[in-house]
Amino acid sequence: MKRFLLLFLGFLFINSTTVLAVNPGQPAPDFTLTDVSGKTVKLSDQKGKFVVLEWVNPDCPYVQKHYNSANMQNLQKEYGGRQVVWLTINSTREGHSEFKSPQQMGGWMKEKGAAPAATLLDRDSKVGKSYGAVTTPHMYVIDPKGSLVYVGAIDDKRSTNVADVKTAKNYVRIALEESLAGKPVSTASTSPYGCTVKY
Amino acid sequence: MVFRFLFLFLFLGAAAAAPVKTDLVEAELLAERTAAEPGKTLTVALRLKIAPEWHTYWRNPGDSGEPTALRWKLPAGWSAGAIQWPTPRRLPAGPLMNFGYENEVLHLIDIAVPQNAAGVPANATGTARLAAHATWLVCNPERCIPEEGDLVLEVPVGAGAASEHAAAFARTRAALPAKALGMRFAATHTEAGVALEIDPAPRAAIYFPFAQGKIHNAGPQAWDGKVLAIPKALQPVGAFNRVAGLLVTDKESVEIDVPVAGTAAGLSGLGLAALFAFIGGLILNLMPCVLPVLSIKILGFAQQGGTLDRGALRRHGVLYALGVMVSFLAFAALLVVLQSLGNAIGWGFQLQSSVFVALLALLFLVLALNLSGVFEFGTLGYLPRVENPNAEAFLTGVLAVAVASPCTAPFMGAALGYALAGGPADALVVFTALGAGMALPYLALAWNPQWLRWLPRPGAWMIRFRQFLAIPLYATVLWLGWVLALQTGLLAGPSDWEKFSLEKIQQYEKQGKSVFVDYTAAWCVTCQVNKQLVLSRPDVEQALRGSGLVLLRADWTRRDEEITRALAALGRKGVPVYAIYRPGQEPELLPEILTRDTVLAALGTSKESPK
Repeated sequence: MKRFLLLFLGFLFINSTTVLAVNPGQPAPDFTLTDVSGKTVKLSDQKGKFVVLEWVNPDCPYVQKHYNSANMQNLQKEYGGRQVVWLTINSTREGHSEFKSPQQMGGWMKEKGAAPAATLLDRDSKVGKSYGAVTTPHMYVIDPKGSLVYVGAIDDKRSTNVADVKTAKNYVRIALEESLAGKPVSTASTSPYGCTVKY
Repeated sequence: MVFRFLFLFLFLGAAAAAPVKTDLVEAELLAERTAAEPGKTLTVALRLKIAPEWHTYWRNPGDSGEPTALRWKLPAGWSAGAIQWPTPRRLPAGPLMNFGYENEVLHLIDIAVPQNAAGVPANATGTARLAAHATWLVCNPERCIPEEGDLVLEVPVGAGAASEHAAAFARTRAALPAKALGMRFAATHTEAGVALEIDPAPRAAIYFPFAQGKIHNAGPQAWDGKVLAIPKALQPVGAFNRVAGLLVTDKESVEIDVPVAGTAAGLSGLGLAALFAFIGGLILNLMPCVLPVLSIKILGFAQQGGTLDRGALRRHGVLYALGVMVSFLAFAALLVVLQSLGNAIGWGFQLQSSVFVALLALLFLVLALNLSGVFEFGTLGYLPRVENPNAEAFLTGVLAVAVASPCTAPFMGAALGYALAGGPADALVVFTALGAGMALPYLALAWNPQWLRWLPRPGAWMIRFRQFLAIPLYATVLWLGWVLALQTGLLAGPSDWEKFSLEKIQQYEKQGKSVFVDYTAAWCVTCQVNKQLVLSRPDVEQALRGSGLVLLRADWTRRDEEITRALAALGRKGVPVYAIYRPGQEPELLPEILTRDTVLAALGTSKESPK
C-alpha cells in the first residue's frame, strides 16, 4: 500500500513539474516593451488588475475579420472601461515584409478606432515566443495576481468570415466575465486560429 | 437536333465545369465518370492548382491556417460525403509548423446518387447540377489569403464511362491513407509527450494528429527504429490520450487511433492502473452481489467467536485471500490466452454465455433460499460447504470472485482496459492489485478478529440479518433471469434507440452529425442503474432527443465482435461506456457512473457549430 501511495505521489510530482510552456494556472512571463508612442510598458506594473494580451498583425485576414467587424475594438473599449488592461502586441519580426513601424502600427490602430491601453511592438519577437503565441489573433487573459486564466482563440468560429463574429462564442469575453465575477474560467484553453505569427 | 448534339458534346464528353481562377489558385470540380448512375456512388474531386511556394491546408492545419471546406448544393435526394484528405506535408513557418498541400491537390468526395436520380433533374439536358461553395486559405511563409469560389459540375444521369480524369482519381485514391492492417501499436506517456511503438518497424515515421492542441507541431519527432517520440503540445487543449491521426512511414500512410496507455482514467502509468484496480477491488466487497456472501462468512466468525483459535482463523483468512488471488490470476491468464488467440473479448465476457448466467442464477437462488432459512446446509449454513475447512476457505474466495463478476466497480473499468491493452505482464500486475484489494478487508478481519467486537453480540438478530441479506440475492436471481431471457431471445430488448454499428457512426459523421453511443449489457449492474436513474429520466430523455445527437445503443449482452472492437478503440474492455462521437473530433467519454448533470453538461457542449 505504501508503494502505491508513493507511486501516486510520484505521479502528482511529475505532473506538476513537467509542463513546459505558458498555460492557464501558470504565472505570466514578465516583459517590458515600448508602445507605438514610445512609452515603456511593463507587465508586472499591472499587478492587481486583469490584463488581456492580444497578438495582432494588420495584414492578417483573421485579424482583419475582428477589426473590420469592430469586434476587437468593442472588447477593448468595454473591458478598458471596466479596469481591464488591454495590451495589443505585434510580434512580427523586424525585417519581415509585414513588419510595421511604430507610426504605421499606431496609424492603423487609430484608423480602426482601436482602444487598447497600449499597442506594443515586439521587434525581436522575444515576448511572442516566450508566451508561445502561434497565431494572430492569439489571446491571453491574466488575473490580478499575474497568473494566466485563459490561453487560446478569441472565439469558436475558425474563419475569416466577418458574419461569423455575431454567432461565435467569444472565449475571451466569457473568460473575462467569469474572472471579473470571481468565478473560475470554465474554458481555460482552446486551440488558437489565424495566421502564423511572423517570427 | 443541332442543340441536342451540342449538349451531348458538352456534357457527355466530360462532366466538368469551368474552373474558378484566383491570383494563387485554380479550383475546379471534376468527376471520375462521365455520368452519375442512379443508386451508385459518383466520386468527384475538388482540384486545387496552387501557385509555386504557396500552400493550402489539411483537415488539421497545424499551428495556424484553416482547412479547405465545401458547402454543397445538390439536387434533392443527393448527398455528399466528407472530404477524403490526402496525406499532407509538413510546412515549416519559422518556429511554427503547418500541415498542408503544395502545387496540386485533389480532394475526393463521394456523392451518393439516389435510385430515382433520373427523374429528379428536370432540366432540359438531363444533367444534374452539383454545386459547391468552396473556401480555402492559401498561404506562403509571408502571407495568408482567404479565397473562395462557387463551383459547378454538370453531370449527365445514366450509365457512364471512366472520364478523362479517372487516372488522376485512381492515383489519388491509391495514395490516400489506408487502414493500418497488419501493424501493431502501443502508446505510452513520457515526460516529453507520447512514445509510439510501431511493429513491424518502418525505416522512418512521422505522425500527423487529427486534433489540434495535442502535439508540439514543430517539435522534432524522434524515430529510434522502434519507437516514435511525439512531443506534446506546449499549450495543450485537453488531454493527449489518443494517438489518432496519420502515421506516414517510408512505405505508406496509414490512419491510426491508438489509446495512450493509462489515460482512460485521466492518469498515467501502470502504478496508477494498479492503484485503481486495488481501490476497485476494495469497492467490489460492497457490491450487492458480493456483500451478502461475505457478510455471512463474517457472521460465521462472530458466531464462532471464541471457539476458533487464532491460528485457524488466520489460516482461513489467508486461504480465502489465496482463493481470490488464484481466481483473478486464472481469469487474467484466460483473458491473455484468449486474446492472444485473437478472440475479441473483454471484462464480463463470461456473462455473455447463457450457460454461465444460468448457473450463476441457480447458485444465487440456492444461496438466497438458504439465507432465508428455507433449508440449511449445516450450522454455518452456507455454500460452499465442504468438510475440509481449508478447502472451504479457498472456495469461498473463488466464489466471491465469481459472484463479483457482474459488478464492475467504478475505477475498475479503466484499470482493466489498461491491463488488457498492455502486455501479459501489465495484466498480471493489475489483476494482482485487484485481487489484493478484494481480499484485504476479509484478510484483515481474519487477522484481527477482535475488530468483530464492534458487531453486536451473536443472537436472534443474526437470523433476521441473514434473512434480510437474502433480499438482494433474490433480486439478483430475478435480474439474471431477465438477462437469460434476453440472451435466449425470449424477450426483446426494450430499446427506442437505434442499433449500434461502426458503419452507422461513420455514416453519421460523414453527414456531419454527432452520435451518442450507450455501450451497455443487460448483465451489467452499473449500466442498468445508469439507465434507470439517469438516461431514462424524463428531463434527460428530452435533452437527449433535443440535442440533435443520433442515439445508438450498443448491446453487449451477447458476444459481439464489432462492439468489442469499438470499445477497444476507446481504450475500454468492458461496459458501461458512454461516448459522444463528433465529426472530426476525438470521441468524448462520459464517466462510468452517470449523473443527470454530467449528461446534461456533455450535451450542452454538443451543439454543432455550422461551419
